[in-house]
Amino acid sequence: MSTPPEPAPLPFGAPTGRPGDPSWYTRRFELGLYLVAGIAYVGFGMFNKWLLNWIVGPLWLVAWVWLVPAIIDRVRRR
Amino acid sequence: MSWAAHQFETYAIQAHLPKRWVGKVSYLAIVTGDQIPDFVAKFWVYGFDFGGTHYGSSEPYKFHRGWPGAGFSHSLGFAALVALVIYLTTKSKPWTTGVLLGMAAHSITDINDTVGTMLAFPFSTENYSIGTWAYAATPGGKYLDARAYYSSFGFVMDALWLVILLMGWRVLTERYWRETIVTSDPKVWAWLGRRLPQRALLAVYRATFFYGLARLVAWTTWAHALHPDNLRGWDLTWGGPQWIPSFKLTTTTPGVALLVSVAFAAIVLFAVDRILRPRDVSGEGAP
Repeated sequence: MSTPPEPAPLPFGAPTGRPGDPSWYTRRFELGLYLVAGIAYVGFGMFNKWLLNWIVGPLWLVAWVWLVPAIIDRVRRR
Repeated sequence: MSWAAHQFETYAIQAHLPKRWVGKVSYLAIVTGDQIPDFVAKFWVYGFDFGGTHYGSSEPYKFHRGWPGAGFSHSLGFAALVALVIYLTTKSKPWTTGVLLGMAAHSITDINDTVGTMLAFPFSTENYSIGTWAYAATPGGKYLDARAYYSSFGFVMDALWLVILLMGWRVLTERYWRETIVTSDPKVWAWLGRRLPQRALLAVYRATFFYGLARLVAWTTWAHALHPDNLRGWDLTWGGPQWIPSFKLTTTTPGVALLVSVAFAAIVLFAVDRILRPRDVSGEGAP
């Protein structure tokens, strides 16, 4: 019995298509968001070391990925 | 003690689960299990300042890993106890096995520092260590600990776990999360999904990797670029860095420590396999 072929991955510049994601939110944008969140966290963390803990660290990423697109979307709709 | 290794090892475990276990072990439970040993022990290790007074252990290494102290938190007995409590309260095999694997991984990884862990507790209060780098939690605080760890083979250990994880990079993809991680723990992800959009759920899954990588980069950069110290620099010698007192609690050799940790891992893997094995409910084979 042959296994069904894997679906082709979405183009990098295509919208993610996830429920809740804005139509302009692409995988490329998401990767950039992760990178910016990481650079910001490392940058702030080196000078404010209380940020470098296992509660703030994971929450930092989740907050960026959750809130930044929502804020941009709200601004764009105005 | 290990730093980012404890974050990376959770994904490495997930990526290298035996096929028959894939989709049956909760990843969130592995992360929880990996945090429990230090969650129990760490609060008093570095201590805290209040009203100009420092509260904390005067001998952090003894409190963290010794007996009497919180050393039992890095042991087979404590891992089994926590897993049993989770099973009795939730009846969840994915969470029972995930916590067991996470706690075991944490306890075994920590045999690399000079203090080691009390793996065989309650059968023995001996600490087992292979002494790869110096255990550095001292009253000198977290900064000195970070500088020592990221100047020694501790840095190499973190980098090694990162490489092992990246060799199984598919574990970080959205598809893997959707098809394997969510299906092994549908209730918890559904509960989170009622509060967060999907992109944030995916970030929750990737957040441990994010935090591990960020702390590896941040502390290494801080110790060697932002605040370099000529007297406290890189020292990639066994048991280093030599510029910090090397605490020890063990009386056994690294060979014994390796044997005990292999036995510990084998017991945990056997237990996980037994828990996940489907029960024969047909009655066939019964006397």
